[in-house]
Amino acid sequence: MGSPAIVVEDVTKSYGDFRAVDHLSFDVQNGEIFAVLGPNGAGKSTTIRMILDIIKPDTGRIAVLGGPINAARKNRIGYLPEERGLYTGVPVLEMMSYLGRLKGLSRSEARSRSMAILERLELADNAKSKVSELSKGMQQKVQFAVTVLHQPELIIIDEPFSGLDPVNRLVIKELLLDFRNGGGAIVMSTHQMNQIEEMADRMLMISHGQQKLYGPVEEIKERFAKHAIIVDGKGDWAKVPGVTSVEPAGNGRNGGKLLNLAPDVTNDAVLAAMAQDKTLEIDRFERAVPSLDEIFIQVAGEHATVDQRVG
Amino acid sequence: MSNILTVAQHEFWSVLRKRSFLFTMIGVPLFSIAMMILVVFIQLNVAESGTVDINRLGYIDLSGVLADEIEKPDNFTIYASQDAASTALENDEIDAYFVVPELYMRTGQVSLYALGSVPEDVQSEIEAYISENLLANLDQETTLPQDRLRNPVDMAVYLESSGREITQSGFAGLIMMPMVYTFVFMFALQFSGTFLMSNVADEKANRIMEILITSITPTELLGGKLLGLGLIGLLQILVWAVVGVVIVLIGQSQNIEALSAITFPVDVMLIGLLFFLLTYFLYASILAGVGVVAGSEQDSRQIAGLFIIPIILPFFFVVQFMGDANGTVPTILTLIPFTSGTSILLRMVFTAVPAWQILVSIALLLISTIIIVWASARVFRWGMLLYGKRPGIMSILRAITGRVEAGSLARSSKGARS
Repeated sequence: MGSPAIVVEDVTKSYGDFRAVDHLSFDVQNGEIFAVLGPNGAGKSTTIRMILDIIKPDTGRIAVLGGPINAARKNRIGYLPEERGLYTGVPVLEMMSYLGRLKGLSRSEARSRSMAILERLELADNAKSKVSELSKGMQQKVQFAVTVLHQPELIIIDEPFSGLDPVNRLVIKELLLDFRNGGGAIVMSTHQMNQIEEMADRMLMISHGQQKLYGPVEEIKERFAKHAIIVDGKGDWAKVPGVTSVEPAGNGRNGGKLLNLAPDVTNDAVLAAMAQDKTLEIDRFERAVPSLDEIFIQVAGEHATVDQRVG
Repeated sequence: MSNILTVAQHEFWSVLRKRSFLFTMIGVPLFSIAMMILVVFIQLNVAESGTVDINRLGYIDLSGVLADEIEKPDNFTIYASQDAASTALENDEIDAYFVVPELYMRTGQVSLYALGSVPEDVQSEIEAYISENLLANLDQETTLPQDRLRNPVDMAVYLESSGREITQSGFAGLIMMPMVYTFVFMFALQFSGTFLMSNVADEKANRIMEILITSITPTELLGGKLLGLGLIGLLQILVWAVVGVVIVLIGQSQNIEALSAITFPVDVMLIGLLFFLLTYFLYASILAGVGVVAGSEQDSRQIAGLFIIPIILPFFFVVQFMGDANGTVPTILTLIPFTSGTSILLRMVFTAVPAWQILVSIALLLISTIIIVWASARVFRWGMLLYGKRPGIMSILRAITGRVEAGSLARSSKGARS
């Protein structure tokens, strides 16, 4: 356990003149879900591929599971790429047992573990079906099963929830949380900010290959919190004492108004003032903590294209 | 190494389980045997209906049996040496010639040389002439071996230029071997090669490639695939060979004339197998590279079609091969690694191919196979993470020379996608 699952130290990677990753450093601890996010082309995949030893960094050092990556350490990692990553024309159990053997399991181990996981995911009846015969949600579950088949200590997972219905999303989410709670480390690259807010312990946001944000998710959100409140209801909010300006609350806020407050005014004082004012009707009153979406857009800035993909 | 075997095993069984493969493995030999019988049958009928005319015969008598020329047919001409007869045959002064060797009295052996198949009645005519003279000798001498009276002539027919023995209707049987070989070879290669290729394209499209190469190295993956599918190719050839030989042998034991013509020269078969193995690795590794670079399975199939052409190319020059099997065109085709397998077999049945050419051809094929497998492994390693735009030939060359890295198109942000 002791040492971090991943240590990335001052890593740089260029393709010709294009610098994909620029002096990046971070670590991932055991027992945490670590989110990597960033606009398209930010260097997320390049970073993940360097961790997985598919490509080599130009400079810097990467340690995985206590040292430089090698065949034995690779066998302790589970990787789940975006999209399917499955053989479609092969029976589920057979495919799993093949991929398990490539991860160093013996034939019988691979089979018995595959069956155990399939049972847990309620897919045991489908063990002999071809992957192409399964629903998208089932495929995603099978893919997850492949990722954890060899009981890895570290899972690297790209867009784990794309294409899943709410029921299956919950199943996968619980499996990931279980894995984390069992002491495993998870690196999750995703565009779905709400998933990061719900699950991730810490996060790294990169843009143009450089670190933009790094730390515990709650702390980062706190850092971006404005001295403002969000209200919903009726009335002229601008006349409330302490409110300096009123603007629409913006995306993902279910309507409402954002009230910017004067520096010396507390939320409580504003709420009390509102309660006094009989011309106002308050349906909602909350502190304006920004969503990760907003932070993402703000940090990714004007030069980055915000990803349009819908997961 | 164990990873290579695991991959090989997986590829082997996953192909073997395919219905399309089983159909090809069993169905194609049955179909090709039916075709073969049909072709030979037609050729025989053509031959018997008299298109191959042998009217003028030359002979050389080294035994003295024919010294008296008793009842010599008008269309028989005596030559002093085999060279003279051979020249006459080439100059179209005669259609065939036979040699009665010095030891004829003891062995009864007579050799007949022709440019093509020899109808039965010509052989009977020769036998009748020899027998007539034997009988005349009997009147004068008593030393004639009894064997000669019982069985006057043991005729062997040779194709003039190659010296390879043929039987009646031999030409069809002779060309059958390289044709069947090429056919079998093409099918085995086409099937296992394109399967390898489309499999790679598919694995890439499915992103399973990314899982595979985070488990094992790209070279292990490619090696396992080449090995597994090579075994499939060999299995396929083995099944076809066994089915073919069994059917031909049964046919011959039943005296089916069409099949009696077919011979199985061991030298040709062994050389053929060696060339198959080398050419298989040559093609299969190119196809693996194509599979990993081409955008889709469909694209890769079209590209693969182009690579199959060289295998059948020598058949477009079959006239040159028959005319002068050691001529320029056949020699060049024998030395080019892509066409050498088919060419060498075509030549071997028509003529004696100089040993140095066979060795040089094998050496060139071996060297180019090693280079191609090596280059393919590099393209494979580079192309497996390349998505989106299909790379140009320059990018591929850069990948081979090792100046770009996995999944990158120099500085394309698509290749270095995040």
